[in-house]
Amino acid sequence: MDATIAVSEPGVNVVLHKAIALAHASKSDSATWGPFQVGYSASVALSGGVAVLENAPANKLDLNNVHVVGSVSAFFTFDLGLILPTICIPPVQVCVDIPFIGRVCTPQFCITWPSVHVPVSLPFAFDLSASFGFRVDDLGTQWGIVLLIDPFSARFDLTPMGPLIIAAIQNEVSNTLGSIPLIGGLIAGLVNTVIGAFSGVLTPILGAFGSLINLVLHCWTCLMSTFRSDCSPSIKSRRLYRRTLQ
Amino acid sequence: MDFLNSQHLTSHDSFVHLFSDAGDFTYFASVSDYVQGKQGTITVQKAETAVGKGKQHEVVFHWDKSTRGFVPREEDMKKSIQTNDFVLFRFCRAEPGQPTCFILGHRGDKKVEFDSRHLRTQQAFMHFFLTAGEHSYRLGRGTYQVSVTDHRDLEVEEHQKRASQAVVIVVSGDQPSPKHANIVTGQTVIWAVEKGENVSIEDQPYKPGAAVSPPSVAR
Repeated sequence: MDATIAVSEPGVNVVLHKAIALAHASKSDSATWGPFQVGYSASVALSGGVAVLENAPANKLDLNNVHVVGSVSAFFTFDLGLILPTICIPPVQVCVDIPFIGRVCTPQFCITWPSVHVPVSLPFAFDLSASFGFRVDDLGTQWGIVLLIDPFSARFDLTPMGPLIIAAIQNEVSNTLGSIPLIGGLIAGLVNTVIGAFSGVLTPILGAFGSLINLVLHCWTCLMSTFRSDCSPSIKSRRLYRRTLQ
Repeated sequence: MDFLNSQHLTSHDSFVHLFSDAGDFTYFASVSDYVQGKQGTITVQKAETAVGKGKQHEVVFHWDKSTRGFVPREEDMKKSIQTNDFVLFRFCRAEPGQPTCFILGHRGDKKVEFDSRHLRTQQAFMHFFLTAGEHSYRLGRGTYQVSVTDHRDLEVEEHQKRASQAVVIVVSGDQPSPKHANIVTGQTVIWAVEKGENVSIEDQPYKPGAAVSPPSVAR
């Protein structure tokens, strides 16, 4: 028996906007790049978007201009001792005469470089468009719309995060080294050494952030694919789809 | 905050011992009475040098992770010095997990010649101050103070000038002089024992106005 199922585009928009409003997901991960340990989590919220139905035979639902906002919260932990050279202070030996011992010269003490912990919050925003196939299921008193994932890879640019991360690391390393006496004249060079080491791993770190955001978005599409809605057959349709019932 | 305790030496501490007698001595740095570190020897030859005119020699220890013990530098394993020379025992850069220790020396006949936990006449303890703040320490029955000014609170030239001077606190009996030292970060304080036995410098939680001297005893 053939049956004609009508799906309302305005109805789908209403339903999808409700679904989008609920979509707020986050994930976290951690990894090590050279001396830099990075823990990071990405949280994503969606808003807006316009659903456009395409008639058979395409049977597609295009979701355009969904606004994606979120942030990557990351912390960078690294042991300066793995990056910086050995420096001993004071730069010149200090001697003093002690009559009952002799002329005592104080030794240099080599600095035990501390570990540095830099937390950063990196907001991002971009618009996303995605296409889905879909299926309409007869659920008895209700019709269900099942979105079929059309795998996509969101394209977004995280390179603006680079300078923010570098500035945060520069600031924290400067403050940390600034607390050590007698190396004032060396601090700029030492900070540059740390930033030089970090620059070599920045690109893969941003890549990992991007992968995590993609993973969150992918999970969101998984969520959408299982979303079932009340779509009464009596709703006036703008577009018609044919489905064969066995 | 700096860890200040002459009974538990860190990489920011040094211990000085003057050898007034000729003879053969052994020394080691150890983390406890039950574990002996790698031993070095010091041969002291008799000389006519007066007290206060001897030379400074150094023994530098590093923490060996594999044996979990302190080891002297190779060139310090056998030292030859003269009477009234003194040896400054110190440490390389601290390694992760490096414990505190003490330094013990014996005469050839196994009699204890020096023990950094119990300072005595013609010995000294040094501490290099890295952190600013008020440091209280106990010496005998009294509590005394070292005020450390942050280098960032001073002009660069002023800080460098002050840091280029060592501060000596002379200990006589259980009385330090000065009782209250004012220094800057990056400065070393030397507690030099002019006269005393079983002296130690141990940090105390700082309490404003708590620095007190024990009552004087008429002799």
